[in-house]
Amino acid sequence: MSGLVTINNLTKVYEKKKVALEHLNLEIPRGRIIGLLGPNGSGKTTLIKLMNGLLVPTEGEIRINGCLPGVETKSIVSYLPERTYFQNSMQVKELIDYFVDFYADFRPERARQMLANLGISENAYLRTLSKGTKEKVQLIMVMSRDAQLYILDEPIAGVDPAARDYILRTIITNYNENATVIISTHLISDIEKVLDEVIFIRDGRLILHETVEDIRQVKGKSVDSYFREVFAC
Amino acid sequence: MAWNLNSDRPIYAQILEVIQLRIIAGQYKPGDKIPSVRELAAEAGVNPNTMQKALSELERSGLVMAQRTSGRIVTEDMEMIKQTRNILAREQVELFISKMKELGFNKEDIVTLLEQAGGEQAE
Amino acid sequence: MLGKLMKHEWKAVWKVPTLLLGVLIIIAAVAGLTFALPIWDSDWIGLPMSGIMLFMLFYVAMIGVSIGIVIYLAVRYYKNMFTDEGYLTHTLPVTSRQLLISKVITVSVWELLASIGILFSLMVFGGVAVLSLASKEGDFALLLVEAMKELGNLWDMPFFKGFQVFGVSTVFMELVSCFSGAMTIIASITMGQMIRKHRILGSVGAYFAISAVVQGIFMVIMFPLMLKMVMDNEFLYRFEESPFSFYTIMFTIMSVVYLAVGVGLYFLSEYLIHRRLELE
Repeated sequence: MSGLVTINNLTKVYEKKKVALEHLNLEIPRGRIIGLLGPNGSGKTTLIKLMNGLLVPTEGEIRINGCLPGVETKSIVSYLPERTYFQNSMQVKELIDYFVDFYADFRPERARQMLANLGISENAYLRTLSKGTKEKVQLIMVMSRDAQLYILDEPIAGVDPAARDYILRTIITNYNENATVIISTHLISDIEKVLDEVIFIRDGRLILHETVEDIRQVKGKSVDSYFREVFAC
Repeated sequence: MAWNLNSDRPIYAQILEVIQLRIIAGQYKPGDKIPSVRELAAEAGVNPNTMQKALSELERSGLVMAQRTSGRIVTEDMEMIKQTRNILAREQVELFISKMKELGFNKEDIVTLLEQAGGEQAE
Repeated sequence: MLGKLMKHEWKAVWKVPTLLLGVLIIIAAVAGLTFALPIWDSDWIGLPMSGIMLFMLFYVAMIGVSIGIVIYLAVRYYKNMFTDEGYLTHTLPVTSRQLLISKVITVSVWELLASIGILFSLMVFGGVAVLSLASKEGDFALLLVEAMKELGNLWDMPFFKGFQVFGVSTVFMELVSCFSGAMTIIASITMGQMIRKHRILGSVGAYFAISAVVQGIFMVIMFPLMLKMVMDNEFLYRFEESPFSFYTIMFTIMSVVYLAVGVGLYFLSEYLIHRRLELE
């Protein structure tokens, strides 16, 4: 039981023969913060959706904790998609009840504390919140679970530096120590200090999977400049 | 002491320096408890594993001590703090001298320059 | 988990259909109340006309509410399963079967509640109308009681033979058609998702396709049956006695077809959600 996620020969072909992932093999360990890095359209989101069972692979498989995506994996994976997935007719407190009902690892006190810190009322209806606030509420819900795997898809895309710091702090202070956090992004310099490992993918293929210290120590470069070098056109 | 971390050097070494400086400067006083790994990691915006590594390194050097219950405290050994300060000062001086040599100054030039600068600051 | 899904599904859905049915019942009561007003004897055509307009409004509202509820439930299903909300719905630790069953039950129950609500609005309309007329003409209620008594006598006539069985088959068909109606909506939207680029258009197309197939099945089954019935002397004899046995047979056949179609669509939808899900 060393690896948390094992990806075997994973291929996803969309309609019209658009290949998003091609024979991907990957082993993701426990207790790490991992950057899933790649240019836009490289297959990051496809990989994440496959891990969450929102897509079905064309070939190959993903195992999380030894299980194919399903009830068992969904109960230990906490997923922050790029989109806000709330039902707008709900109140914040109803959303908390919803998470309490479905996720055994959800910690409502933690969510309430973080919402209070941001001054978000539990009686507020989600439709009345701004886009930025909704995104923060969603992050709070996702990070208030004691999950084994957190998958965060572009959590810092399109936010200002203050919001970015808030998001990174929230992730660092809330993830479970034995858990792994996968953060996908194309904004590497903003998050590279929090990473243990990086996975570079391009055109649906794995380019590299290394620890960040190795890149800094052996290559003497920041992950960002190394990324630019690897992906230079 | 702010966390001005630079991404192309190993982060844990830079963290180590910042915490050493905080101890020397008295921001963390001898015998004080220092914040938890997670708090420090969040404050610095770095990976908790990296922060852990830096703190373990500090523990090994004896500047901080792990407590039986939880957390770490700054050493009360004033001699050690002083020593660390001297080491850091020495590093700075050596760095300074090597830079000055690159600029073509010899030992006497440097001493003169230092005296002048010191005099100006005193006024 | 199914219970929790049902609870939250119900909480999310109940308000709008309840409001629509509430409005319908109010319209029914108002339309019924017009019988108490002296507008029908007015010299000016406008007054009785506006009364008639109110009846028409009630009629349109009945159709509108029944369609409105179906559309509301369809949109809710689509949004909750296949748009941004789907990102949460499909990452809940539940099986696709539990998810789908919770949706099917909720939609079926609301289809049933909508039929009951509309029936109830008709009763409200009738009841208020009778009371209103009675308040104008004192002996009207008495007349009504007489009429009811006559109806009671009719009950014992051979014409009503087999009515109880017919009633049961009607109720059964109503229940089954609520389920198959729900399944038609759910399956069309689910099938529409397979046309990845035109999901809504695909859903509408699938709806018409399913309806056409069901019509086809009825044609194929009913035609020879009806032919046989007409040819069958014994049946003709019975028919003169009471029309209900004929309808009982027809409704039972329809129920079986609806049930089979509903169950088939259920398994198709479950397969598509479990094996072919592709969120945008």
